[in-house]
Amino acid sequence: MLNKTLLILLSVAALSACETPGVKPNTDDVNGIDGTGTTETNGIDTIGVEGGSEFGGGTSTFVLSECEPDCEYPASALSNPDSMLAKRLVFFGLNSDEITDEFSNTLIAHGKYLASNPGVKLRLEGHTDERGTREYNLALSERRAQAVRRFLMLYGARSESVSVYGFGEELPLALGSNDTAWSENRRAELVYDSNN
Amino acid sequence: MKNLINTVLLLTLIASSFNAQAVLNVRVTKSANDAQPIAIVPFGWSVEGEAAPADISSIVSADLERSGQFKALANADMLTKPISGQKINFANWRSVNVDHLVVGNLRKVAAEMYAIDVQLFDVLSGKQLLGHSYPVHKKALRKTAHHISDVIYEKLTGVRGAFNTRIAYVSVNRSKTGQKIKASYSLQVADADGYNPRTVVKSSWPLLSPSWSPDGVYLAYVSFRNRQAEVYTVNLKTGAEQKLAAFKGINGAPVFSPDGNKLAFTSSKSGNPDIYVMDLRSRKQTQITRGYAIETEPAWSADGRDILFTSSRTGGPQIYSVSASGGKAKRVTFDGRYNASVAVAPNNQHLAMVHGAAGKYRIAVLDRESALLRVLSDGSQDESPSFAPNGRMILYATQAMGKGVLAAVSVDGRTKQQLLLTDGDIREPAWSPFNKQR
Repeated sequence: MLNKTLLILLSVAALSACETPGVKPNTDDVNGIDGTGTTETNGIDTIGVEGGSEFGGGTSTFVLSECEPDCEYPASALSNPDSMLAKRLVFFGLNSDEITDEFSNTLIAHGKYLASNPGVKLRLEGHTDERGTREYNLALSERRAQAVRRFLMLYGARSESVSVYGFGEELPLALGSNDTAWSENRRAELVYDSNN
Repeated sequence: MKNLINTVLLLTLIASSFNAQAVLNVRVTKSANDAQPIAIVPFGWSVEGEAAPADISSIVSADLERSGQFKALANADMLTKPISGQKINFANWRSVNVDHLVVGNLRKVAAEMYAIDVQLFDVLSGKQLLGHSYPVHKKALRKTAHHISDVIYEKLTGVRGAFNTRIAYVSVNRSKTGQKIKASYSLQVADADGYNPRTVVKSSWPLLSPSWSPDGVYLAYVSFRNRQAEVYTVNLKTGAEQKLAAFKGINGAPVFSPDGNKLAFTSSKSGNPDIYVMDLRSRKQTQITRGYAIETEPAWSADGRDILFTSSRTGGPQIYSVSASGGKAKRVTFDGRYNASVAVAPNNQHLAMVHGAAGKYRIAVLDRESALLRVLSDGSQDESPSFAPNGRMILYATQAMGKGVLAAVSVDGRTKQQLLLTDGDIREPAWSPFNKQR
């Protein structure tokens, strides 16, 4: 199951490699609570993915437009506003911690950057929208950050380079009780340590 | 549902000196039509040239009306206004159809010291049901008025009153400078009617999940002051804070055990959120739940033997119950796909929770014996249910006019009210235990 999920993920990454991935809220997410079951189940499929080593061979099957399979990201790439590394937000569906295809290229870039620069530290800060209970959302937000961390580790980020934080629904990006605000708030933020 | 009248009763009251700007509105949005008619006559006061230091009868009327079980006669409809039992013409009161009558007198006995005399009568028989005289310091006048409400409520309903209690909640004030929104959070404690609000903890980072110790001295709560969710307690008498759980990951949802010796909370220190129980003396922790699912929002059963909690083990959040020493959990909720944030009534029979359906999150009560779930609130993002210590009302957070407010609903759903504190966004209410002195 795990391998299958990853294969799908990688093939999608390969297909979309020529496009510039846009970081934008996932607006076509499930409306209402009824989608909860399915998305949660998808999240559970990735149980126990703690590192990328067992999939090491897979990373060479796709091409990234700005960084070829075995390329090294220079440390300075982080400050290039045109780099994919400039995208620091990942958005999620309602009650879901699943990373959707549209964010895979961005996260592959960050994963490879961290692999090339093992001294760099990254904070992943998970958030939810305002719906549902605060404490459940706190747990869900941490889970979103953890999902991003697992993804980055698949591409070579070291576990000690990436720390995970959950802020629940407490720090919204957008105020307001509507679909637009909600989809903007269901997010994980990639925050590079300014001392890097 | 049909036999209910919707009444909107707006009592605008000015809050005390603790927070001169806080204006409190209590709006009874729904009351039962079989509420007992009662007359509470304005209390006597006879110090020349000095205003009465408190309006005892208004406080008592507002309390009793808030329960939804009483309907107080308007002062304008009173034919006479006796201040003691000797001068009552019961025929007058029978003619305005009240069942019970409260009369009283406020006296000054020394500087800052007063006495409140109060009597309760059955109007039909003319029999006195209660008669008390309370010596009171000026500062305790409101508190004593709430105590009088408790005594009357218990005499007439057989259930202990919960008016002389407190509530804790989080108030948020947002200010915008340019594009940046700055929020300031304060954990506050007020009387159960919203009066005398006082800030206990202030922070520029979010505060949440206040929970009372059974002796009413401590609040446990969650603070992000160190950029991650950590569990603290604050002593309400001294203001002293203690950090109890700050493990790697999230630390949240603290709740004291009914005996006050333990604290259940959530921690993701093992990699994903699980319930732990901490012995407050030794600080030793026991892990209660395991597995990949989100497990959070613990609540103790009334006898302290079990812990109810939210788990995502079957997909969406549902309520489960497990022995407080750990073991196999049993699923408790089966209605719908979102049930979370459970609160247990003192009778252990009623469970209040947030129930999500069709995009709306509302307060529902599950009767464990009949397994019937009843949705009691009608907002779209109602949260944080908390039982009154007598189990009759549920306090919760809702939205009104674009901001967070507190509301209360009776467990049978027959009466509902909103507490509107005008400054800030109010959320995360927790009703205190009973006051120790009866």
